[in-house]
Amino acid sequence: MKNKERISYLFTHLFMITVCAITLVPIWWVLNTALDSRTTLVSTELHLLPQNPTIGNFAEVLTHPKFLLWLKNSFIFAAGTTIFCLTLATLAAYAFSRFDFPGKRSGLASFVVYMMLPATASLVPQLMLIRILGIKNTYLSLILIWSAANMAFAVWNLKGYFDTIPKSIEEAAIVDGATRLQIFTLIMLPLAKPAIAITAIFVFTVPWTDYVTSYLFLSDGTMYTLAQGLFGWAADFKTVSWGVFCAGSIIMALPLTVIYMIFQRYIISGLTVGGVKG
Amino acid sequence: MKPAAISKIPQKPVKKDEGLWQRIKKNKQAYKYVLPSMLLVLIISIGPILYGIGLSFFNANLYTMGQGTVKFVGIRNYIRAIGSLDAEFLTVLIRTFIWTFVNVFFHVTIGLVLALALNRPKLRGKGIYRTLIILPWAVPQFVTALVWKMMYNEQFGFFNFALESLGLPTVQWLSHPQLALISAIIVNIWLGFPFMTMVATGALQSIPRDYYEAAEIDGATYWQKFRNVTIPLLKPAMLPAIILGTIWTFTNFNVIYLITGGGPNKATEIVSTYQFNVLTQQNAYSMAATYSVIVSIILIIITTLNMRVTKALAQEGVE
Repeated sequence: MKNKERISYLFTHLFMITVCAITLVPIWWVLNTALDSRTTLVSTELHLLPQNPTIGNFAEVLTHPKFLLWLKNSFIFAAGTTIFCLTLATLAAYAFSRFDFPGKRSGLASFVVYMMLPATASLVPQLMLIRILGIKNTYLSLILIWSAANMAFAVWNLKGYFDTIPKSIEEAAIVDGATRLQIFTLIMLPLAKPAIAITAIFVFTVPWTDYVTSYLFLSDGTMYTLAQGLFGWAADFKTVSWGVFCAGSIIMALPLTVIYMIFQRYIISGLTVGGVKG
Repeated sequence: MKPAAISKIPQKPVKKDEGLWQRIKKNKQAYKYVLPSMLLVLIISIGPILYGIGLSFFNANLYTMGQGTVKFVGIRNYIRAIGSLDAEFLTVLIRTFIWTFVNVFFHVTIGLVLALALNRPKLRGKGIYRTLIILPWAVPQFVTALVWKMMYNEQFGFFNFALESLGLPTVQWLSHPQLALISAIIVNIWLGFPFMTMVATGALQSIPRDYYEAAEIDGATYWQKFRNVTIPLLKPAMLPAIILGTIWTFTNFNVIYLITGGGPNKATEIVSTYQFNVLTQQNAYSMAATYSVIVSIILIIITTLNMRVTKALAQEGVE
């Protein structure tokens, strides 16, 4: 390398290191606070690394009865929504991709129109509906709401992927005498695994991190989610130390963070290409 | 994260000699597959949304509903929302536009600069830089927003603490009206630039090196290469991402609500938080629904305009 070029690369490195350092401040702060063993509720000293690193905060969070309850609730809500929404969405996406039935185009278009409707206008009527159905403060209520909210996206995303699977595979199966349901479960679903996984990640994220919906629909403390719980802790650091809060945040964030880091490429292309082109 | 709209619906040739009824009968299974999801959306979402839109023409709130005096008021709610220039909602709306523009501008600019730096052919440690930069995107927004809120805490938060240890005066991050908005914008920039970096990096990698070499042979300067090769080839990939980013930022709730709650004294309220506060604090159901309808009309306009531009650019690229 020429000298001039070498200097320019040196500056690029300096620039990138600065950017990374600034970017990492909040993440460093959470880890630092969560691992720090301190007796005060808030930080009184600043150290680059925790002085007496400890996992005490994590131990405290993971034995905290309320936190465990929220964790359980969040998991049931998120997993329930993911399974329910994806079951309905893959079925519909398959039909939209492989059948040529009257009403198909308007059916697909209705999902697009649905995405443009003012979703937040539905909150009050939905509350009324949940009360009429008698399912207030149940897992089912929010699983239904979150599934419906994500249905259009899931159907379009999966349909887009089904469209890329060549039809010749199915035709061979039909010749062999397979039924439509067999084709769907034995051939299409395994082939669509990557798309289903990415869609599942998106759908799972929504209930896991949604604060508004759970705040509005859940009034029973035993049904609270992690988002509600941590929001309460953040507002009240007089009873819960920042270390405990940070440990809780890490537990809530870590699984998704790892998954997003691993699947970043697919997630980005799923969002931009799949989302816009269908 | 909800991706925006969708463009084309594939059209398949229809056999004309078949009757409609026969085609419906032949595809019975398809209806069985589609029906559950359609019904769910219809009952749980679309029904309530239509009801909510209807509500925006009434005067429903906690008081009138309790008294049984809910009545049709026509477009009075809409006039109240945007009819006069001093309407609170209008201020919030303008702030939301500023919020969206500033955020998306920095997302795209920072994203592009970082992508260009990461795309330098002989740069070592690209993988590490990339991973570190992407981290803010991978952490759930809800968690990071809460963490930033604590870092902004004026008594015990990290920022004032750091300033104090450096012997500098502390800053009223969240209690000063204008500063609070800037603080929230900083968080949202931090949250949003990694996505743009990733999209831009992906797009840059797909530009063949030959193009640059050809431009170099013609004696192009760095700036000329950037303007005439990089930018035009980046556009098709960046535009959909920018549309998505605009919609996400416009409708963002977490950052403002979790960090400032719309305060101090409504100074950082944007449409999503404002709607929520009107709904939960004032229990003004009809007004909240009205704001919701107005916001979605604005979003539809933004999306349609953007799609037109994207389409026009895509065609330009083909020619």
